[in-house]
Amino acid sequence: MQTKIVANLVSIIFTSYVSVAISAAPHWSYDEEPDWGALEDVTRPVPLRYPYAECGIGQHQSPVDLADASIVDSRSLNKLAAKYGTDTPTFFNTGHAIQVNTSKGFTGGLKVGKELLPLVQLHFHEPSEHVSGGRKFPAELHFVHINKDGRIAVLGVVIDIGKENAAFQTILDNMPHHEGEANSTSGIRFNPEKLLPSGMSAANLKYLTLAGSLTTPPCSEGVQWYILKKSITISAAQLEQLKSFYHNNARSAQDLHERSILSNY
Amino acid sequence: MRIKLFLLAVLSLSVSCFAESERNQSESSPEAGQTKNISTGNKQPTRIEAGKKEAESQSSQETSLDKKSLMIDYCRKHTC
Repeated sequence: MQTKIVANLVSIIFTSYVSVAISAAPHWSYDEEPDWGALEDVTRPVPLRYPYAECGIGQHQSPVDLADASIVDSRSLNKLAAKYGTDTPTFFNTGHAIQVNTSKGFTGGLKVGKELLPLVQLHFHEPSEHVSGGRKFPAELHFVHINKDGRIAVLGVVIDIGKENAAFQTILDNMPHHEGEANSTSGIRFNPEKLLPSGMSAANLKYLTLAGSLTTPPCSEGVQWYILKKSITISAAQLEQLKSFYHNNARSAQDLHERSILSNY
Repeated sequence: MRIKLFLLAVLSLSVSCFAESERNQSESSPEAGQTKNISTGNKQPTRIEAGKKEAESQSSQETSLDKKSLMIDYCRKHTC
């Protein structure tokens, strides 16, 4: 009986620690990127004291240098189709990037083979996170999808400087300037498909794919990345506007650790 | 003295929680139901097995749903 009481007490204490661990996370910034894995939360017990450890010790981390990998041409890969449609989203300044959250009833998503992964949000990095032969692109767009099991798939689109992008301007115009602020009352009707490259069918996207992670702490692995073959453009003025929100909010390229990149083109 | 009183309160809480969970377990445990049902006939265990599988599958679905909603909530609040 005494053992059970002790076990019960230990269980209560452990549950409290876990609750604390879930409810709070240490602040991080891009300046301290090399140390993300070592960021400490002193309010937690030792096993949970390094909540971003995966950033430091993970073997399938993102982003990567796409030129470092042998790209395997595999035309039998799943067909990839963007089935987003129009939504009334929330424009959210997260404190690390500008982000567009889809509404709760939004049913659009990314169709991978026969499975539809709902779109949860999209956000921007400046400069790009994925690089090619060390070359960074001006910016990068990430469409984040989560399936019914909680698995994440991210569609990455590289952004170049060129023609002005009307859909991107809608985002810039409705984005709150203060960190942590959300604009959910704009009533703007927005179709994320408008941010996909022109000249590429949304019903049959051409992509590179690899296993990776979140590019921000906690850098959780198990994320499937799809990087589009074609880039989109924004104007130089729009890039400056993006930078006025956040600049250098891009993680550096991570080691591939023997990963292959597959291509369907 | 205060520490003793505090420890006593924590212990009482633990004992009552433990007693409550034991009571709930004995009421809802499939095993407890199984003991009762086994004596009523041979066909019952199959039904129990099916019930168990259904409960396991429901629990796994609930876990998936929890994971999904936690991930969605996290990714809406953070740049994930």
